[in-house]
Amino acid sequence: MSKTLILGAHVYDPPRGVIGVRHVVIEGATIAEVRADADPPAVREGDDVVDAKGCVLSPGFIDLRAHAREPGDEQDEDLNSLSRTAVAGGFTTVVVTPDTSPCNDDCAVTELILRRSAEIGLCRILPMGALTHRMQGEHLAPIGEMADAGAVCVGDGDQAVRSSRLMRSAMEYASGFNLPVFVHAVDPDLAQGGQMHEGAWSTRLGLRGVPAEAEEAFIGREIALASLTRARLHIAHVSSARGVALIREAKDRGLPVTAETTIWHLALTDQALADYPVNLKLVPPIRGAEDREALRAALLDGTIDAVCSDHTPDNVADKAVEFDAAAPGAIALQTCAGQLFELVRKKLFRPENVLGALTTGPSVALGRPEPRLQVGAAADLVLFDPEREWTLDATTNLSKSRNTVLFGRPVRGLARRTWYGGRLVWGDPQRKR
Amino acid sequence: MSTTLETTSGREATPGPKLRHLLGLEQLGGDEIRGILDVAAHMKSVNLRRIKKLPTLRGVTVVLLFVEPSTRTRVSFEVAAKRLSADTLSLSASGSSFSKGETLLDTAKNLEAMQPDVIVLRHGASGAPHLLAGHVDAAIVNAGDGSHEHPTQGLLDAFTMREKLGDLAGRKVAIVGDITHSRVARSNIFCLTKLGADVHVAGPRTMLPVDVESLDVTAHARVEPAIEGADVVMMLRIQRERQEGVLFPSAHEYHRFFGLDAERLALAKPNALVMHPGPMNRGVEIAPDVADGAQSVILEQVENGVAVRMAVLYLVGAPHGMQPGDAPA
Repeated sequence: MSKTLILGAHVYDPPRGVIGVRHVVIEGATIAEVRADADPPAVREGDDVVDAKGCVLSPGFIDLRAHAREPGDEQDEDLNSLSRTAVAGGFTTVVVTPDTSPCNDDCAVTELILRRSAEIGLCRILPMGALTHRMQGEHLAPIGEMADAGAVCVGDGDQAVRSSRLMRSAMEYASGFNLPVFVHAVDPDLAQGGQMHEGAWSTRLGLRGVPAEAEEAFIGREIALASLTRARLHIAHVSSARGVALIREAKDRGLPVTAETTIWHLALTDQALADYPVNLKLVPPIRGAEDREALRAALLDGTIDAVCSDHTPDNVADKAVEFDAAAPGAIALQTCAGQLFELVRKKLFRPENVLGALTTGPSVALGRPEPRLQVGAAADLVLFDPEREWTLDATTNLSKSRNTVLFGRPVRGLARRTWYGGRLVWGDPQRKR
Repeated sequence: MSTTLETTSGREATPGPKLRHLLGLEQLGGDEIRGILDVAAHMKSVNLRRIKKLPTLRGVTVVLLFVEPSTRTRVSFEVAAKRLSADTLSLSASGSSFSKGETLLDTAKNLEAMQPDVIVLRHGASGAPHLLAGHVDAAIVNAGDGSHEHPTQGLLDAFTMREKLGDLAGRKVAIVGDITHSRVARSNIFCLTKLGADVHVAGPRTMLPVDVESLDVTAHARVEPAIEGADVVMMLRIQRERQEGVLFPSAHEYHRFFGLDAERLALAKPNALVMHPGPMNRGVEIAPDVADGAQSVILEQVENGVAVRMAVLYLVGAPHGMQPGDAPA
């Protein structure tokens, strides 16, 4: 039986960190050997040998938040293009939001997503079920049936649940099925009509702002309800310093709360909106410098568990419009890890911080076992070259959409290869003697 | 190409800064703004002649694309373009393909097939002129975008002030009303601070945007400290239909606390200018006797608007190297 020999990679095993240069052998669907640098494996006829010098070998990345667009908006993305984009970005597991058309508020949709993903077979797609019927915040979606069908968490996508009473019962009910509740925490009244972070830049640009306090108010409410119900709560894409402070305090109290932010919120501030770039119009908005510093500190101290892509494919037609009219969101699955390593290069993080935010952190939020890179573990792996430069353009972009400010620009950091269950799902095999 | 300019004084006028677009005043420097105002002064002298026409933009096509309704600004631009001999084409939201759901870019691309040299855009969304500038070849002149900027209004206000007061450095200007939603306020703030004026903004707290001080102005929640000792008091229009009951309780209360009446105006310098970009709500933000009083320059603002817009159209639209007063080759 032929093997894959990955020679000389910097191996990352989440609980132990980057353990050093090792040779890793994949046999079948699992990791068969992890050998010391001085002790390379023998190469046999037919083995796939990968020279991994200078690259990081990590368990496949896990994304907590991507908008799949299938069913309903397959012209923007479908589960096939999403899977290809994900593995090209080093992700082997992707949680997809329920905001499809029809939305995933029914076990039939959950089953459809899982069946299609299994047919495609490039990576593990995990459905987030809607929390409420049609994501309208009026009554509960069939959470139990969706859990049975394979939903791994519940949440209303980018909709906040206005009613505190309904949110309470949603948390109670979901926790009975052992599903974490993923919340988009923002006061919808305070955020209404908002186009960007409310601050000096929104004042300058004449765009209606969403104050950070809109997030603070609802993160506070969700934490209070989690405390009341003892439900597992995950705060999606936290963007503000005060939001982070509330999450830190909740964790200190021992509440089962996890949180994520996005690569854009870690990398940029609202100043980046000076020329009205529609592809930086995000939900929640990119905030000010103090908020960004707080997010970075929170990733370092573990208050923020994970960094997600918040991959949001949108048709060019939804983007070639005035800022007010543009659909928010950007694609990021293919560039996310490279963008994070850019922050390592700037000495803001150690490699373990960003690798943890793409592996262990998301698994904790989902209540799944921590991924390992050791003998016997599943061979869901990414070989990532943080220094490799490439350009995201029409030939390299695997998403059906191209709504990102990085389109046409050079990007640093590339997943050279990705394996899912021992199979090479991204990268060219170079069979050598 | 460069011939001596006709000027009323006989001196050679500055040719002014060449502009690719006029998207806003924030990006311009003080010298560029003064350069535009100097050209406008020359244009104003043309407007006082019996034959109010220059050949400068002959053969230049100016499209007036008014996606948000406006009569005054459109007419002012149209007069300005015609006095420079440009061909004008006017499109408004109703009666154009916008009412059929065509996007701004589609409309602009279609217009572009007719090779316009300048597109003057009025639009309800902040940043709309920036979007156009990134997608079409024509020069874009922002005639008001959402709550962002109204650069020709800012220029004509500065022009009017400069005409009456001379250099604006150190002059106190009070801008009173809905600063948050006012593009006139923003353009005035950007323009006047660059000319060295001491800008104060005032209005109910609901109408002062967050961190407005970051624009180098002093903000007041009551109007008296803003008006006190001011050289200029500029009142902004209140949008009663959208804001009454949410941003302020009633027109009556607004007038009582934030309106400009003779008593409040007396706090300003004795000959302080009273300005308003129009259209006015008489008896709400401004008392009728003040609006029509001796200190009011509101109608002169309108007159100067044509001269300033002529200057702007000339600076973005004239073939390079041409000077105001030149005829095209």
